Amino acid sequence: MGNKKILHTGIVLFFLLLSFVINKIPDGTFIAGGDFYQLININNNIERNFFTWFNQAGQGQYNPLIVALPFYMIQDILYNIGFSYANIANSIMFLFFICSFYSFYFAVRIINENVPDNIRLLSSAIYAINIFTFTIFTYPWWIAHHFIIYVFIPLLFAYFERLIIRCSGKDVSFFIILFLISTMGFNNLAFFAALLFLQVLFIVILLAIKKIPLNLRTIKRIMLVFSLQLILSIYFILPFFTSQLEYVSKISTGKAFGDFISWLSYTSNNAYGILSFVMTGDKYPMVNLYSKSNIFVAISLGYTISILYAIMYQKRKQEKYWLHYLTVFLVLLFLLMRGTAPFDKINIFLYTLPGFNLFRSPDKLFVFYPFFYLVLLSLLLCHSKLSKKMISAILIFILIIPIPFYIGGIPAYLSHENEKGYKYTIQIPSEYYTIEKIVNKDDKQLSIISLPYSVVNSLNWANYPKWHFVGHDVLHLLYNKYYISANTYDHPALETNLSFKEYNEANRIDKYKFLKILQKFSGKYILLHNDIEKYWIDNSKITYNTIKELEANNIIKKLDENEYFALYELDENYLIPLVFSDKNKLSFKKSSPVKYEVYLYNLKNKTNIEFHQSYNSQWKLYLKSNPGNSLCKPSGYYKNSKTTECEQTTQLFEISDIAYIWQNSMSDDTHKMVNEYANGWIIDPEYIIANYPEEYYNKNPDGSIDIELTLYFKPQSYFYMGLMISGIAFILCIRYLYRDWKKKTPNKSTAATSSSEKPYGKV
Amino acid sequence: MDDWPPSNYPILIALMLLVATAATLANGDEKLAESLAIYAYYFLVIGVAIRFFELSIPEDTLQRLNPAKKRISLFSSSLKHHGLIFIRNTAIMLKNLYGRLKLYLRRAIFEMKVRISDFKRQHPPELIVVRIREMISAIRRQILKLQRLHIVNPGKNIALISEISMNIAIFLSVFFIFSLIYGITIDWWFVKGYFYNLILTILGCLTLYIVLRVRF
Repeated sequence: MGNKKILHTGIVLFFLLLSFVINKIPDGTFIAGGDFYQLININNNIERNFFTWFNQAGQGQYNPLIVALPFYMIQDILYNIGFSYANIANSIMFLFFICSFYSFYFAVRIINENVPDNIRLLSSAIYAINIFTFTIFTYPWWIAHHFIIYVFIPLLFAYFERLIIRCSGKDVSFFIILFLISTMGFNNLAFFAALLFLQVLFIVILLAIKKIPLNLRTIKRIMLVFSLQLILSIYFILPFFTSQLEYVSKISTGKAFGDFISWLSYTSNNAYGILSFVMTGDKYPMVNLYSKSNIFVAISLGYTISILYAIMYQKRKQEKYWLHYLTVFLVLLFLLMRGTAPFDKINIFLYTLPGFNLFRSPDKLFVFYPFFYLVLLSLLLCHSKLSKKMISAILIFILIIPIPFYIGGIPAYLSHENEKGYKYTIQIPSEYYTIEKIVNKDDKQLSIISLPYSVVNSLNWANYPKWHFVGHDVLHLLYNKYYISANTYDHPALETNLSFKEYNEANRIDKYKFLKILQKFSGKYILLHNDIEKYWIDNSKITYNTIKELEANNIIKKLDENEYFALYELDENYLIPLVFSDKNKLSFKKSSPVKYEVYLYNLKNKTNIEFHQSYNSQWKLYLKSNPGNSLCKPSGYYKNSKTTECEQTTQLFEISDIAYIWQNSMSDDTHKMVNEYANGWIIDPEYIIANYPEEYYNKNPDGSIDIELTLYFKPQSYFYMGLMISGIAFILCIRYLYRDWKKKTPNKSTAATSSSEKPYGKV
Repeated sequence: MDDWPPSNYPILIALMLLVATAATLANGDEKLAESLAIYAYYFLVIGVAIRFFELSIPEDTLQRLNPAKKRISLFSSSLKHHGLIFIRNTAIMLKNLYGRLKLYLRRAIFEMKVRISDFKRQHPPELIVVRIREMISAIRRQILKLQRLHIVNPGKNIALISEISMNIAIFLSVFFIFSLIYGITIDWWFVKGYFYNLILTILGCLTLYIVLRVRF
């Protein structure tokens, strides 16, 4: 075994030790908190990331996690080979370490071949183990999709630089493959925007220091790289923009996030914190479980001190190798100061610029900071007058700075209860699992409504102090019904109103009004919590009493009660289906979260159709030719709306769905928001008869018509189209690289013949 | 340190400030640490800006400047030659001028003394006498200056200013450290009153020193 093999085996073992032994997540727990959580029942939850509409949690909304599917598939594989939730967490931790390490390791080689091995190895280790990655690991970010991009940044930037400086077909192919794989990190479009912004900045600086000449060839290369990136991203950019068009103006003006300036100051860290690699003030070393002394913050300044020290000992005229990285580093530092005085005035101006407000949260730019820092440090040390021993000593010191990594800090921080008793390694009470059998007994498209309104930290979050949880309500992962939380807006993206909160605040018991709210969300079950903050139990008497009254009137029935919650079921006569017509008989079948088949009978006059998912103009109705309802296996009948629900048949992909891109939808002009959040259309039979051939409807003897409609979320078609483009690009690149490799590798038989011929030749 | 590019000086200051930030943080003064970190960032930016400038100067600048350098050296040697003659002539002229003025000045002083004694007799208040004596001594000082005018060397003055600014910077830095210790351990409120101005003065002196010392 060669020395290199031993070394790399040692590295893998070191990361295994760090993930599975030193930082082992306690068995029987899973990680959740804030906006991020591990998946429970992974097999049942994985398919949601195939679709651009996410409708399990609540009223439904556009699903940006389509790109993160490969990440969750890895978790799914681990789950199916018998890994526990804790083991899956440790495996993800290990993968994060090892991928970050090798990504940086190869990136440095691409950026500068002269960087010696000791610098490459140690700086790669620092890329995996630093205060920022510790910050990631002490919050449920890493177990979810959020920071996948961190792993890909080094290679993405290294190839980007290479393509700008010298462009070959092989490099382009590698870049395309790498970029396509890395798109799983762009689950938040702001990361993609940040990448583009930093690339532009990088080019400007390269031109300024004359590392690349400003000529036609350079411009062509730049255009090629940016065009490639945009084309390869089309599969997630296009669905995003088409579905979010109506919200973009709201987001870009920052109104969707309240007072922007206050937010900027609230999420800003001290200047010395930023210089110490600390993203937010509530993380290590600012918040230290092991010591109250500030000495650890002081030690963390070693990151920046090392940079300055290395600059002081530079050989003469070596700036061209590192000055561009130093400049980007300084610009990043400035932007990361955010609302910190005296940088606040300029930063408030910058962050309120159109497009730039995508970086309103510090993580969007901070995720690039370790890369620029470490490339800069590697290049500075490589071109310094310092001895090899001194360089290694500096790098080892930096590697040691995040001490908690080496003493089991990750589980300690995750399991640490804050002053209010919340933590990130939680155990969902078994009582919630026991009602799974009741709620999941059928696959009817109805809702489970979580009550009462109990926001403490943030809207859309649930607080369950009894089991130490705060964050996006993870209970939705347990049930196959649409989980409507009273803590979210009726329309989550447009932030229309909070019906259950408003009902409670009205301070008047009105059981029919309350029933109407339940019905507008197609509610079937009510989960009335007792595990929320005491303040809300005391201040939700109206809600609790209304439910008691509904129970007394046999409108709802109690199914279960324990110390955590009470479960109620709405009487069948009051159930309202997911799709229904106000006048006509209707049957519907869910094919996927983005596709429903709807059959309308005896259409004589104009009729309204309601669809109880949050309004989006991209929900389209397509009239089908040769209508027939033979494939419907009824699973339920709703008396009050004359609606039949058919058994769900999940189809992951149908090639014909791409045709919806160019197919004309109907009744777009009548598509409106109803019930303050849902979709509504008016169907006019006269219009159908006048504008469509006879094969599109069945005429009844009384003059009425039967029609079949497909209710489809159009961005899914764009997603398929983008995937096809990306897939073709991927296959072509693989083919090119394979041919290139074949050309370079001599044919074995030829090589053998020539080698056997050689002695004869010599003789 | 001799082969340091000018950009290294602000970076050195940034490094010192950052070390001071770490020390202050360890001591628990987060507010001061924050200010020091911000100053460190500023100096780093200044250093990088200068480094940018250094890099943007083409490597053959010195060669390209050679003819100009020759012209400058010719000009400076002729200036030196003519300058010396000029200074010598000026010295002779000043000596002659002094010789001529000396008689008038002595006579004027004598007459003034006579007048003063007359005036004293007429106006005895001592204050007036004192003022006049001061005036005389001032005139004497001017005469002395006139005598030494031809001795002054401008090059030595620049070196002197550079040296003085360095000494002031060192002196004030020592004072700064003592103030810092006093402020941290006993009374920060008092030190805060002059602390930032002190830093600015030190930096000003250092900048002056660097600017006067740099030879392109």
